[in-house]
Amino acid sequence: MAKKLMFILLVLIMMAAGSVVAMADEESAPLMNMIAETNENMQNIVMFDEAVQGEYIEEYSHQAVFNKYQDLFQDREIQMEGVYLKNICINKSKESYNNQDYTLSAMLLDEVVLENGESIVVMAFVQTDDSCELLGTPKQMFAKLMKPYNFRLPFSGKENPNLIRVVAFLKSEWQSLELGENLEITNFEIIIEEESFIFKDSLKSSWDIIKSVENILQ
Amino acid sequence: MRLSLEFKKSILMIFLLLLCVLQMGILWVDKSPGVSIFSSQRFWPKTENIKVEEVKKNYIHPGRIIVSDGTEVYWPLEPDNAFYSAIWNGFTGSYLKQILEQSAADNVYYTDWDTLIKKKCVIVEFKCSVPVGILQWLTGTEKPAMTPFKEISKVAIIPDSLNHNEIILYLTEDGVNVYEYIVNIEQGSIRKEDYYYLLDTIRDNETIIPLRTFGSLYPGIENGELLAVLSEDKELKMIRDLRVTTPDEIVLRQDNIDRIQEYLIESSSTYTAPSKDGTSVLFSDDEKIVYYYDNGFFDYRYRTWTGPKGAAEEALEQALTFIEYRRKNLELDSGIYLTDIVSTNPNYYVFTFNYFMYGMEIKVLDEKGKTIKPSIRIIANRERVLDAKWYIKTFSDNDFAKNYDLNFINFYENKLVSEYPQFNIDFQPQHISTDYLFSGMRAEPYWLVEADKKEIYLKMEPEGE
Repeated sequence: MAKKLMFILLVLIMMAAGSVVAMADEESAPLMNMIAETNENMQNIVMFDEAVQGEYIEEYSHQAVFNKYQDLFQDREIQMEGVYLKNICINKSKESYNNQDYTLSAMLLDEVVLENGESIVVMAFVQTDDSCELLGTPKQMFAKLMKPYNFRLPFSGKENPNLIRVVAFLKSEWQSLELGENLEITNFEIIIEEESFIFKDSLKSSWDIIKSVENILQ
Repeated sequence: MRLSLEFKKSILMIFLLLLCVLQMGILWVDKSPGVSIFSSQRFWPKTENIKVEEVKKNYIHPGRIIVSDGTEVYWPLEPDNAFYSAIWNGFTGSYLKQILEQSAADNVYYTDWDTLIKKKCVIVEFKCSVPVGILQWLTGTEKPAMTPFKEISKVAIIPDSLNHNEIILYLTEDGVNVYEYIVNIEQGSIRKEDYYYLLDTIRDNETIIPLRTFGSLYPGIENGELLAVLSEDKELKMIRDLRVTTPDEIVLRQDNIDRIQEYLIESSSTYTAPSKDGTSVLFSDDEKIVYYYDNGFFDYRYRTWTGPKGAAEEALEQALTFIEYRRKNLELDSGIYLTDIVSTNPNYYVFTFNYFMYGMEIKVLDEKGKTIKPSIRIIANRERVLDAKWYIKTFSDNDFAKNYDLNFINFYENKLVSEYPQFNIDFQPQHISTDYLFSGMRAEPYWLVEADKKEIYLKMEPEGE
């Protein structure tokens, strides 16, 4: 009996030993992923801390800028181009189906050279009845090319043009902005034509949908 | 006469002694260490003849196939996309042959390329401009081509035409002159409905990261039609890390020199000399000098560079035979594609090839010279290969993949400008791509940017590190 038990025990030990080898994962992908995730979380924590610290020291926020210079930003009569930006374009967003989605892009003027860590903040506002409204999330420019700045314009129709003000300033000097010195404001007007119902187009798009469904089913 | 056993033994001894002398002589002449005369390739039949006709299509691939849905957003298809191979096979197997066989006609289309590709179309881009002769050879066209163009670099396929069985192709060699052709959709080619389906639904494919032209966002950029991922947010893509190894058969060791010769040199050399430090071996004879290095670099040079230049397709055939002979012997399974043709020299052509994996080109990073080299560069004329520089490598997954941000603007802002501050003042890009580069045992993804006549390479930073 003892021999039988010993034999069974031995088999179990061998199976366990075999399993350890068989389950050993050379790639250690889960472990790598875990390490990567941990690193990412750690980095996020550090970045968050830096962001909070930065805000605390400099007290910069988009809202703080808006509150401080609200009157200047709202007065459409005041504008000054060519301080920081050139080739400012506001075009209909290519990626979106919504005809009110637009993209702002721009380049820094050749003579504007940013020192290490400096940035130009670009904000876009649209004029509403009694105030102006910030569009999308403002962008910071660290280099010559500005990251595309996407936003949705609130008004459509010929009677409701979107009166846009593009504001650019040096972030480090945000507390003492002077038009033409370290602040640039450019006016734009964009009219979004309302989509009218065109019978022929609606037939065509219906036909396209039918064809698409047919292709999927095939 | 009956021979005694002792006499038979003596005869056997003498025979064995003679064999020893013969073997010693062979090794003496070869100047290489070795084992037996039977392992030398001269006593075995040659590798069967290489049939380039059967494999030539494997070496010519599109640089990119892009779908334009008419909104100035461009969607590059991955090589594993079903449409990718269907479009390419239809183009090379049917449309191209029809174009080359058409009689000479005034096919000039009076619209520039940039305006044309803003329409709904499928764009096939070659890695380099391919001469008509090579395209004829590729498609097996027998009629002499009477085309108004000498080379093709890009093709736009537009499924709009009056006839249900026809589509329109626009070709360009330089991006300036555009030629229009109407071709029949033959059996086996991708159908017109499928083109429409692709054009209409590409935007819904969330796995494809779209490209935009610089011109559409930054009118100040001179090369406005240059495509890149220009987006507001991060555009992440999983890219595998590659392990780079020299094939086992040709690892440079003292006891492996015979084998290396067998695999890489078509005829046995009269002189073989390993270097003193063991990092290279020289094979030479009356015709050629070949150096092979321990990093897998194969340097072949024909002694006399004479002979007629011939047509590009004839020289390419020589180059492909040269590669295919070694590739077949070594069973290299990574894709090797033609990436450049230079035909300016009056005596020869220079062909550049690179390895490809996961839709990305694999090039060599020369860390000493701080330059990027192609994996294979072959100089050939119609008669033979005159010079070849080839990093003979195999590539496999390094068992991990990382996420990389393909948004060029993020790379430009976070890395390019800090490394090259001059691009903060003026930036005029001519070329932008993401490719694999290798210098040792690993191939990693890099940004390759050509701007202001300067070729820049910077390692892509994985997310979360």
